[in-house]
Amino acid sequence: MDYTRLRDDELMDRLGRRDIAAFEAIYDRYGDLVFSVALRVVGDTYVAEDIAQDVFLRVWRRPEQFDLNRGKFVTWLLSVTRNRSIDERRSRGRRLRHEALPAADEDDVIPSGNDRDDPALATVVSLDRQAVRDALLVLPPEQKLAIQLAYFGGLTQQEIANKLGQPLGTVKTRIRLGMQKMRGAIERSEGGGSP
Amino acid sequence: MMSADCERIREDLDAWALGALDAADARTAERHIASCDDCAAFVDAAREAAASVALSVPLQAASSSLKARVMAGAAILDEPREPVRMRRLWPLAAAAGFALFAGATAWALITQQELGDARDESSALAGVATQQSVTLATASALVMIMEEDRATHDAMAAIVANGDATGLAMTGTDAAPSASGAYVWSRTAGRGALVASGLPSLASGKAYCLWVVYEHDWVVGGLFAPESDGSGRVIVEDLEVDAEMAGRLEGFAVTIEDDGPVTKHTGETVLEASVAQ
Repeated sequence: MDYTRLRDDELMDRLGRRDIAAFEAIYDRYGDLVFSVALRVVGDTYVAEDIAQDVFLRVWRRPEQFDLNRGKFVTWLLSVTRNRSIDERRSRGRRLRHEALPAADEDDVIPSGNDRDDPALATVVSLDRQAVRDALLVLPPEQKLAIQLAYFGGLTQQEIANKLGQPLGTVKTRIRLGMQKMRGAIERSEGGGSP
Repeated sequence: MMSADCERIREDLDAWALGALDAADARTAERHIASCDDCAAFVDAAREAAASVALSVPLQAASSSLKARVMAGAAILDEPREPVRMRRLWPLAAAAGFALFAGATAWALITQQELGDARDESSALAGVATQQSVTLATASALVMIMEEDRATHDAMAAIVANGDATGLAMTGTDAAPSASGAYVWSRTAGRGALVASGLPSLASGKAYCLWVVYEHDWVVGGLFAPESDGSGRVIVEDLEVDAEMAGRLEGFAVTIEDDGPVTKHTGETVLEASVAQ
């Protein structure tokens, strides 16, 4: 059987029946993405690999935690990855109080041409990825920054407001408007026929 | 009809999905979400939008050792499972170039993860792993050995739990070209472990001997007999070495010796590995 042709939910169904080949296919499809997200948050290759390892072994150990009725597998996987990465970032921040962690507030959330091709990933989320990147490109910088500080930096709206010297209400509005545009981009891409 | 609560919560959903609400507001949102079917669709949409931010990251290639670690970890965690015969796995490992130590590292990292408190050691060992050619086959092979041999498993765990754990892949000589193995050790633990496979059967009265090879001396690590499938393993503990006399560590070797007290290597070498100077 060619596992590369199976949808995520089909792979997860097999994975739930302890099909190691399905697990490997999931890893091949999302390994680099999970690693890249973790790396974006923690800024350390080894730590990012540890996080990715944790995330995938969680998928293997507890596949039932993914509920198909609650959305796409990749959404759940990235949420788990982000949360695990933020936990690690905070933990490291406590341990390395005087050591600068990679800044999530540098205005660089949009890929700048150094993205590598990943055929396995491209088969499932290429339209989504392109749509998101397009949406971010046209997002006002202040909205993009607020989203970036929250998602990759793990900051609350209040912390963002403090950091930027802006009223809390302004930050809330930026996040809300920015995310509305992101959601619109995703909906349009799904309408475009992402598999 | 949407309640005032729903309206207020939905305004916060994007921030909640991004993890940007403070703890008290997040708890309020989550309590509402858990009990409000009307908001469920909005929650899922917010989650998806938040996750989409992650899709924007530039893709970086994870190291090949990460896959080995992940797959070896899955093999460990997969219980119950059918035992996999080493005889089937070892040829795979050999064919893959036999980076067995990398497999050991993979296993070590995952075991430590299960213990839940070895972040620093993991990072250190991962650094070693990335320097070596790692294959899924070798990682899986080692895991299976460890699972089937509790003593070696435990000894290896004690060794690799130390930050200075390191290891070498051992290759068969012309006398035993099918042999391969790895030696993993930690100075802090004062222990080392050899795992080998493809060893030729021995004549009666003979045994394999592991040697720790120093510049001026070969020190006995231990004698062992091969299993019927050609595998072998030996644990080395508290090696007594006069560092000044022995000189620097040069490597490891396995020779065929008489089965009895051994003080000097006289037999043919079947496995060897050199420490990079």
